[in-house]
Amino acid sequence: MVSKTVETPRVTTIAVAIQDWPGHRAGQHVDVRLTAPDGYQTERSYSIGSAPEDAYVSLTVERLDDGEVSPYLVDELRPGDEIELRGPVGGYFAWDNELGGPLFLVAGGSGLVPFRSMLRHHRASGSRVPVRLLCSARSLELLIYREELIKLAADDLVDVSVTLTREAPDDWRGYRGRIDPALLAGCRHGCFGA
Amino acid sequence: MAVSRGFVGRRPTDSARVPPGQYVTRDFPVLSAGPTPYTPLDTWDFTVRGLVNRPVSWSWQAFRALPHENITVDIHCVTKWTKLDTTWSGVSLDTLLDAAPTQASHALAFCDGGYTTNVPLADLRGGKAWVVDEYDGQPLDPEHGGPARLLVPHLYFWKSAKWIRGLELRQADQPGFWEMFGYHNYGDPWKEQRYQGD
Amino acid sequence: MQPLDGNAIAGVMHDLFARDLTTMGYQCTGCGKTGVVAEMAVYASGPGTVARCRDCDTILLMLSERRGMYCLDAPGMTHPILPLA
Repeated sequence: MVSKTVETPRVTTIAVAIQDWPGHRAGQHVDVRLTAPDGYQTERSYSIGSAPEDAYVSLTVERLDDGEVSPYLVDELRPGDEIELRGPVGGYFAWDNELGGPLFLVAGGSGLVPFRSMLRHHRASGSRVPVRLLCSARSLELLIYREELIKLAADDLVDVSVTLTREAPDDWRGYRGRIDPALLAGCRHGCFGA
Repeated sequence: MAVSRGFVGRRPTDSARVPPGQYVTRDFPVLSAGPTPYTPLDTWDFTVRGLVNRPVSWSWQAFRALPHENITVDIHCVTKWTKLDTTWSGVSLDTLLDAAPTQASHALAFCDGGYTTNVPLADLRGGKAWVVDEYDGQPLDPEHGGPARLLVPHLYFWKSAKWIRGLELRQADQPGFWEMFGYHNYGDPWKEQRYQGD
Repeated sequence: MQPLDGNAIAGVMHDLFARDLTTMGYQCTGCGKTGVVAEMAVYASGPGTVARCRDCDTILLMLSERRGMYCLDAPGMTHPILPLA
């Protein structure tokens, strides 16, 4: 593990340098396996949040209070530590530039992680495919990748919509409430010239 | 296999009350092999059928009117958690089985959602098993098996079938859902009978 | 409880078959629905892992690990079809 970035009070991104990494496709995940000194093992799946073009593989982990793996990754793991990964795996929920588009991506909370990989790949590969991202968070403070999403949205091809389900700033102009069919329909309207 | 620095995981708890290989949890993990069924109480019944003169059924109202006992027991899940001092209210299997005289030696519990599990009848008698409809003083939550689940605390908790609708009494044993898939036929946590052959 | 989807078993399936199986197509023997493994409803919290049809809840795949052996059963799926890796 080479670095940690705090995204929100509960969510941290860890970047790992992997020898002989075969490369991944945007949207794939890895299984993280932890081993205790007595041989006890446990594993969990985490989406890859970095693009195939990025220098390191990064995982964004939400800390679950009653979790077994996520508190370790968020609280205990330090730069220099080794972790065991299996992957990359999953070929269904993956996107490469060659697959084309347009893309309509819908995510809540940490579901955003594989989409950051796709958005970064979109930019790094010079894709001309239009992308609309709709993501939901409890509040603006709890929206992960906030700054990066703003930068990505500066691209004319990328449209980012955010809905806040619990709290919103007074001057909030985005969506409110949970993603439901009505919100989806509203968001799709005007999308891709439709 | 490299040890993950600083990772201890969930440690087995060393205590005379905790079976080998188990750790104590304060949570009540929800384990399920399928979607949670929501059966309206006016169509719910509990049936004892199979090797009996005639099947016996209780509507929800009739079941609620049966004498209930308060039960405080430790429960042990095969996925290695143990929860101490859980409190339930329900009807003793002695009460239910007394209504259906039988020569059978085994029972197959059947449930909404299609789950089944097998238990020797001797393990359901003698104040060792209940059909419970309250947990911690509240109606049993559907996620934890409500409206009613089997409670056989001296066996691994997969035997305490959620969403139970009745017992089929049988002369010959028949493996249930997890038992057919390689889990132990009896499931004694003190002997760590997790899988076939343990 | 809410199930996961078939991506949750991608790692284990990759261990077993040394290729991605989330794109494997199948037909449900319960209702005839066709789909791919990634779309299955996966219940991974029980003693073993159970993958069901999203439409009719038929058990498509069951998976458990014990004493270093994987046990895999596919009681409810037919016509597995795989893209070339």
